[in-house]
Amino acid sequence: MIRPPGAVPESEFLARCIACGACMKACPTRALQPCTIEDGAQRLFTPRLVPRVGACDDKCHLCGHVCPTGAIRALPLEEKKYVKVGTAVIDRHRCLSWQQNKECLVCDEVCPYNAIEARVVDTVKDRYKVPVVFEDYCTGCGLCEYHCPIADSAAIQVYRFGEKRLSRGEYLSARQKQMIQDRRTHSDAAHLSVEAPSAGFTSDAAAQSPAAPDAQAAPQSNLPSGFTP
Amino acid sequence: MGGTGGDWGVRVLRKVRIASQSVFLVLFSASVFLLAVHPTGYSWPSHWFLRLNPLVALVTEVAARSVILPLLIMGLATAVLTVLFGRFFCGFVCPLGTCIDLSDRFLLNRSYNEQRRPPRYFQRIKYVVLVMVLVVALFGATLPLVLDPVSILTRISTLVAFPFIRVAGSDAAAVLQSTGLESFSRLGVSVPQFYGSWLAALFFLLVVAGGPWDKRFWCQYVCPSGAMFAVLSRFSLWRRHVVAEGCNQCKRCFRACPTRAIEDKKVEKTSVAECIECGLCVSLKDTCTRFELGRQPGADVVGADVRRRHVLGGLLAGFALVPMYRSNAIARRDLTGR
Repeated sequence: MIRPPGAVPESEFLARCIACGACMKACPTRALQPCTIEDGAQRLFTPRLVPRVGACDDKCHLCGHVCPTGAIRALPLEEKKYVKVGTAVIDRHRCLSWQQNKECLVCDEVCPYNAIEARVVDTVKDRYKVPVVFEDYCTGCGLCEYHCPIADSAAIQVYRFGEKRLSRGEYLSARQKQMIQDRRTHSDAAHLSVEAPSAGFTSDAAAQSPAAPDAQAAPQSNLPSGFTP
Repeated sequence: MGGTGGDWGVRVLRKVRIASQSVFLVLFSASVFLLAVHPTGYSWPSHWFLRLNPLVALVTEVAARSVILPLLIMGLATAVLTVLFGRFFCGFVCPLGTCIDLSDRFLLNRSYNEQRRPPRYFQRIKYVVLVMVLVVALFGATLPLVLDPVSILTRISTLVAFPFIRVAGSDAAAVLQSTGLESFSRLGVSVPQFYGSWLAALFFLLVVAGGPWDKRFWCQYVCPSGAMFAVLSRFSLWRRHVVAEGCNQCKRCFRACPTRAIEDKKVEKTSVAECIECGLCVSLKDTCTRFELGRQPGADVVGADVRRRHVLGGLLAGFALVPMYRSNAIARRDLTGR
């Protein structure tokens, strides 16, 4: 179960949330849904993020601003961009690209945080261009899960691991934010180079930090060089 | 307001109450509606209604073990007003109370029967609920605040009422589209709504379903916020007074009172804990009863009748509820909190 962005740590959340549903009313994408009985009696009617119904919009931070009791923090939009509510995980056995080697990069295209890259790798069948999630940039907004064309549950789903919930203070240091922001804005070019998406990205990263020796040696590395989360 | 000997508190009180209830119901609906409209969602303080309730302030602050300033300020303001003016919140402000009034008046009024009224001591169930809510709050959970009236109505508006309007609207638009009018095509966008809205709807039905048994069933017997206001209003200055020389013991006020705040045997006696100041007793006859500020010597007033057994019952219920809801198995493993 994923909580809305800015939700305070779970024990405090349960001590604050009065299950009024104001956040669900405010949510423009219907991403916030009430917990029903399967989430435990104490969570009845408290909000959870259900990306398959709607994704958390990257330009919206309304839920925190309407919460009467501070169970969801009223974060500025600038801060909300760095709040991680979960991590997207690709189900490779159901993904069109990974399993069936069909041309589909919908999740990559819709990701507003540039956390999904197209990479040419050895799949179960052939070498093929497939989406790969970079966990450190993923906020768990769920746009990928929402737009995934697979029927029923999506082939990319957001799970709660990696979520960060704080009662106060900023979610990341200025340096971490800067690095994430660089990545989110820079590697757009990689998306455009359809022929060799990974090559475009790697050279870009290498240009930023030429000191990193392994940048060119290991183009399949999951992290851009010089980045240690 | 004080010492209104003339016509003021007579029929006016009821009109003022109806006006106040209408205004607050409209304000509430507007607030909930404006939550989801882009610029006002940020600027319009749509959560002020939820913050009005001192029980919400008390329970969340005890449960979270921290001071939540906006809650504290607004809750205290309402608490002070309740100490001065009694359960005005229930009678004049509470939007759920207004909804129950409307359903009692227009939906369920045919099935209402005096004979079926529960015994009067059932009214003290709400004190048991109140103690239970506070006990659970000590264990760090606001779970029983699902019973808070403003919370109930916000939830219903969110999960049931507004989605219903939306879907009904888009269905109507689909019908209009089938007539070939292109201009309606934009209205026909139906978005998925909410999980578990049936559960919320069921909950709300239970709240208003007391109508056939009693007026304001929920407020009289269950509502923990009502219990809180009842306790706070013990020494309220704004009270019902019976003019001794005007009273001929006709007992119409006793029969008119929706919450049975007036004693059968002694109509001068008012239970301030139950009185929601609706003014139905006043509007019957202008010479015998009025609402006035200040205490008259010899005025008979009964406060919240909380006995030891209610507190014990509440403690027991609270202590039983905590392990009960915690022992609930959750399919998704929970590592960060309970």
